[in-house]
Amino acid sequence: MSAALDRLAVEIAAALGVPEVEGLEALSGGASRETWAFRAKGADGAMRDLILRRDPPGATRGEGAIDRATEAAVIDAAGKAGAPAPKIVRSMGPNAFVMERLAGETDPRRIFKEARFAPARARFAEDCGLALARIRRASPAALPNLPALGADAQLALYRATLDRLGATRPVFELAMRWLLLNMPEPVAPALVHGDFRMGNLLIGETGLIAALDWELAHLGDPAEDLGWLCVRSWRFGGAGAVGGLGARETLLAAHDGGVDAARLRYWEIFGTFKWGVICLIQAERHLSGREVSLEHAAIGRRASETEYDLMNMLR
Amino acid sequence: MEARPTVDELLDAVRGFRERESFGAPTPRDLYLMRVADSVLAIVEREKVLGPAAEDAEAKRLAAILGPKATDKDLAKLIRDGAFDEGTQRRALIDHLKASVVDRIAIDHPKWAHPARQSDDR
Repeated sequence: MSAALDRLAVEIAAALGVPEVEGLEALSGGASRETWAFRAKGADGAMRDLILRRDPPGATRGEGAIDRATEAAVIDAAGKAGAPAPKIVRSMGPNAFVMERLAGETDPRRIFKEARFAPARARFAEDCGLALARIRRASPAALPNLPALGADAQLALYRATLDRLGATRPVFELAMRWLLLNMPEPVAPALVHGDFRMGNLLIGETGLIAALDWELAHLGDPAEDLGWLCVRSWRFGGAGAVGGLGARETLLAAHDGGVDAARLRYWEIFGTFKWGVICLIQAERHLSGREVSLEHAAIGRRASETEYDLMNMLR
Repeated sequence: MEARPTVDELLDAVRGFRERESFGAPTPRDLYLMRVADSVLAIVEREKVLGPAAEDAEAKRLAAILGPKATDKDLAKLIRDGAFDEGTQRRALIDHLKASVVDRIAIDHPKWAHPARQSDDR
């Protein structure tokens, strides 16, 4: 065990008030967020599988993204509202928290391919609709202070981003213009997960177990989560608009939140545009030399996938 | 239409990657990045073959809409200012951009346009 790993283990043990933690290992690491798995003794003396989610030193947060303390509070509130979410074990300040480790799969390729997930695939759209209904109904009083980000506020952010990047993208301008002119009637702001899609969803053999990665949670139009889930980039080649696995009608019926097809369509176009802008942001991290990465360079050329999809949707 | 990173920037990214990483027994992450490098080189190869004709056709379509000296920057500004919100010009713009994205996806990710992957109601 390296000295840095030792220090982290001691830090976690101190925060949890246990003598030691076991089996600390990195599950994923990036420049912005790390996930660590470990085991520690619970109050009853039994060993529990836990997850540490933290910002690595020097990490930056995207605009509108919340800190780890706020994320832990949102997950806690969503869980109490009945949404499938991991239980928070301990908040460790603005940069880290500990939550329970649930068994399941997040890798889309496995979820799509393996026979054991067939029942989960069949009920995916319905599961997501029901989960998002619970998220939408989370009591505002129970939520921490969250950014209020309706379509207008988000489009203003993306306008500034496109200008900052110096992007000359007629298709994105056309999409932005359409999104500004066709904004649906505002609704009472409710909890929005912000990144509810395959890859951030923990799937078991019987269905959806938990929504993970709540760092983009905000207050807004609940239909935003529904539209994002239907963006073609999250279908992984599968048939069916909802994550490549189900029908929009199934999702909307399970959600039962008064979202009509036109509002869903708006947020699907919005989400497609948003993913396109994110591709440009990722490429710029490489091109600016701030974070030299072949992966980020490559993702720049995925922006044209969203341009292609936008031109199939815009009239 | 704008294609960033450019072909040269993509080649630099692959070269930089090969210089930075020294491979012993490749981890799953290394193998993944090698696949990314392959796909980036495939984009470069397709752009060399298909790029010039696509750019030519695009320039001709743009000139038909905005005149001979117009650039994508002019087009982006006009769209942003609402010049294409409605009317026959909108139809012409949409036809132009549809042709551009079809040509662009044939370079960046041809499979994306495969009918079998249009798994939806469009």
